[in-house]
Amino acid sequence: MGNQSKTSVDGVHSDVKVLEMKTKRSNVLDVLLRVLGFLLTLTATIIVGFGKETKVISYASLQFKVTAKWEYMSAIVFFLVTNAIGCSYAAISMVVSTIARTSGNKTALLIITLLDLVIMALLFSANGAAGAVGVLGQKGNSHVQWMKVCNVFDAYCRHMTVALVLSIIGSTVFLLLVAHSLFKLHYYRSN
Amino acid sequence: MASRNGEEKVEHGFNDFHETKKKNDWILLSLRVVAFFATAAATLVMALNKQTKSFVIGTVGNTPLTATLSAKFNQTPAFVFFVIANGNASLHNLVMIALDILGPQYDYKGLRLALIAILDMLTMALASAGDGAATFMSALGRNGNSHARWDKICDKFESYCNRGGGALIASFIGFILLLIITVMSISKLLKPNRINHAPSP
Repeated sequence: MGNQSKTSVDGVHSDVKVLEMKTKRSNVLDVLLRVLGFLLTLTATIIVGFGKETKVISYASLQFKVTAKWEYMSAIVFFLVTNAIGCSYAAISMVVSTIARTSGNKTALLIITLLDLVIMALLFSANGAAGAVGVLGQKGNSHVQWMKVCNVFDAYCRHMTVALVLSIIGSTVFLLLVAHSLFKLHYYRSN
Repeated sequence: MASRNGEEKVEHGFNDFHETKKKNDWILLSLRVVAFFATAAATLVMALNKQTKSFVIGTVGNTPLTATLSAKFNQTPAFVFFVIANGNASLHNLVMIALDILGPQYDYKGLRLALIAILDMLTMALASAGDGAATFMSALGRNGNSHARWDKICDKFESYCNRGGGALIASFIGFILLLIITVMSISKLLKPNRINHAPSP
């Protein structure tokens, strides 16, 4: 009887060790994903913020100076603001989630997961908006007589496309973050 | 004698837990039903959104030349994406409702709860992207954009714009409900749920 209880105590001890290792590994993955999300949204913000293009169009012997900037389109403003929010959230939550994970605070981890969810949804909606406006700028809309803009501002359009792709990848990283914490919750639950 | 008392006590506790879990499930199911109706309404209203109007573009002699222009949702890629995303969301809600109604006799084993939460999250992402695209497309249609020289269309096609706005509001309601549903699905993962639904004899 005494021998049986000793082996059961050893079994519990090794299980705790395995759990600790898995916590450390998942923490590293979590921080890695947040760093990736931070970098991607930061790059997208910078590209959109500093992507200004000025061109001179000559039309019927008159010279027009036209500028393309992020402030001129409300969807791009929303895109910039949302990416900035996502970037700062990734930076802050990197610190907070590491602290919460090492101290074992379950409510803080749950709140971080829910905030991840909200920021991910916000980022996806900004991507949809920028994509809609981008498609409009790229092709125009013949039914409502909206001319395309990207034949004039080709460098601006290329910058916006790159920023949009980066932001989409960043939103996917946030999605992977939520999925990762979901799987961790599931793992803890089934044990 | 003591063991029988112990068994009764355990069964009593199990029944209580079973009861509260059922109430939570009913709340989730009703939220899913409302979300299904909201997203399905948004899809249908936007997909059937059409307005035809004839404009006078000039006169030839005495007779005015009229051109008939129609505004439909498939002329704009943003609205097409909106319809696709909301259709997807309502299909997802329908499948989840069916799973909730037909599923409870099976045990929640394996990845089922995690899979439901992840699918909810993916649908939420798609729905939010569709909402964002349609919102800013409608804002462009209502206000135009002077820098790109795009003039507004909502003064000419008023009922098209109003119906599109209604579809957008329904879609926002559906999205908020999807958010609440996802949060509830995630919190379901936290509760220890190792109890079989079929009580052992």
